[in-house]
Amino acid sequence: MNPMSVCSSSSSSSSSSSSSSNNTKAWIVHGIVAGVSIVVALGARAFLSRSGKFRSRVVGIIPARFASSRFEGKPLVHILGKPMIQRTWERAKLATLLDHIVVATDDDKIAECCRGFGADVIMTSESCRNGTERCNEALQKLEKKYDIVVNIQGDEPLIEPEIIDGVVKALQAAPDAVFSTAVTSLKAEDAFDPNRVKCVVDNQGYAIYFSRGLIPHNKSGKVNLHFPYMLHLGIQSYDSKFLKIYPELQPTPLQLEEDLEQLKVLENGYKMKVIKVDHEAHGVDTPEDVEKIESYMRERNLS
Amino acid sequence: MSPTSTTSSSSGSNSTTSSWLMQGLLAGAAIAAAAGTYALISARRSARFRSQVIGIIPARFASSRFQGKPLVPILGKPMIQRTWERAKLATTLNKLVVATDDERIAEICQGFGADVIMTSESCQNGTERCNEALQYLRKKFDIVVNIQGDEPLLEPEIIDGVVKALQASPDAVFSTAVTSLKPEDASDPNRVKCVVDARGYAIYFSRGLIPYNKSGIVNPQYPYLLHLGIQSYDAQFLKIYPELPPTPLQLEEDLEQLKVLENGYKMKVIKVDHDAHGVDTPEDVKKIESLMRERNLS
Repeated sequence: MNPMSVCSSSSSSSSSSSSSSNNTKAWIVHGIVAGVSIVVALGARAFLSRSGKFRSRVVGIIPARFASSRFEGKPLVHILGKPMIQRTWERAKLATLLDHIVVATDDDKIAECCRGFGADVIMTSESCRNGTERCNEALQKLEKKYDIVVNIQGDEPLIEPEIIDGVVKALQAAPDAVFSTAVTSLKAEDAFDPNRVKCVVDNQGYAIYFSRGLIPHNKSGKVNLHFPYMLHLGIQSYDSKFLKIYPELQPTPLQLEEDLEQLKVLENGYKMKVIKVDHEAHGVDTPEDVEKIESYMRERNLS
Repeated sequence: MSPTSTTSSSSGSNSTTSSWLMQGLLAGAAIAAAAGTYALISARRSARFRSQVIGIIPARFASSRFQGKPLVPILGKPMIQRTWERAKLATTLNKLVVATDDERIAEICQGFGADVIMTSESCQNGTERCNEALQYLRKKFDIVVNIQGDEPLLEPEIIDGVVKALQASPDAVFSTAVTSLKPEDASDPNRVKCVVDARGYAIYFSRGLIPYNKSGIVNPQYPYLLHLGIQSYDAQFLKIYPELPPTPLQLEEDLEQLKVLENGYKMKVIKVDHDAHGVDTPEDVKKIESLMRERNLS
């Protein structure tokens, strides 16, 4: 036997065995790297979807239409010298969680007035049947993407910025909810007023039901002065993906009978978060309400 | 050079790689087979989901309004016997028992062939009594139907209906039934109204009229719903349900089912045609006997 050839054959065999064990090692290494990358990717995704950065881009939209059966041109009515919509916009500007605020309107006079005080304006069609549809149309026209849309009613000029922040935080903290809103204490004298919408919630703050009738309704049928009934406030905040489909959902039986749009959310099985706030509702629906709110503001030295 | 040794070492290393490959493939196949079997078994089980069903008729002797009510004769037969005979006709019950706290009731029930479980006098309501009875049973059940002893004309189909509803809705822990509310009952706080969502899950129950329209007047065209007393629970849920603390809406409306909703649980509701003939007072006995004579029911 040729020792050289033995060496060479053994070295060739060792090189082939080392190359095949190298192959095996290479596979093993590939497998480990792949596994680690997957874990890192999952971890990064989990990290990024921490609630701190969940639904992080928020736009506030103030829908404002000119026409109205009761009060034409209502957004422009002066309250202590300033157009109502400007007051609402200035309040909304104080909210800390809005990345952007726009007025969504169908009327050039409103648009001009709003641009005059520095607001961003989006023109929307006259055929929007309600504020929610208008918000959805405005959302489609915005260039940037948003995760949450806050529908800020133009006719609550004294809305506290904290309430806007509150409904946003509620929706950011509740990934299973698609909608959030606010309630405040119902005054006993409003218990049987069908224009004051009552709300009941579960022990986690999810809405159970809204009604124009008094709920909860005890055996006597009378107001219980010790029960903390809740009055629904107009502010609403939506997950933007939900907002895209919400106006198109068919009207539902309870919604139609009570004439309460929010019931469509519950009847379609979606979850809604509710925050409790201290807020005296000062909605302006009629010219008389303007006088009321001006007196209220004078009394409190609000300008 | 020895060709044999080279070949054997390269084929040895080839066989090492291929054996790794083979082992990998076998492992993969084994995992796939295990996953497939598991899926098959779970799928089969879901057709048999919540398959073991027990009906329990809670019956206590004491009552503020009507002592010994379960034993009151209705056209000659004790009311609880009538309820039991109706429940026996349901097809989805694997077992039926009477749960009572009283020897007289137990003896009469055993007399007509019913299984009886003795429970304590301290049970505050039928649900607690059902839960206590469930604990004493040796067999395991998935669904418990709480059959009210004071609805002697309850249709067996309603029992089957609430069972099937719960079997078809794994996310619900409770099912119950409603029927049409008569307009004259709209403002009666003893008639409990119910509203449901588009898929038949309960939204709310109230003693007040719901839905409530702007005018506040009963809408003759609206299909209001009246809540019936029958309830069916997932057995695991029943174990914890009586112990859950009372909740605000439950206490204010005095409606125990609100505790389910306030704790975030889901409840399925079926709609049935049923004229409620609950027996609460001695006068109700006469009413139901006339009804039964009119309809030639014995």
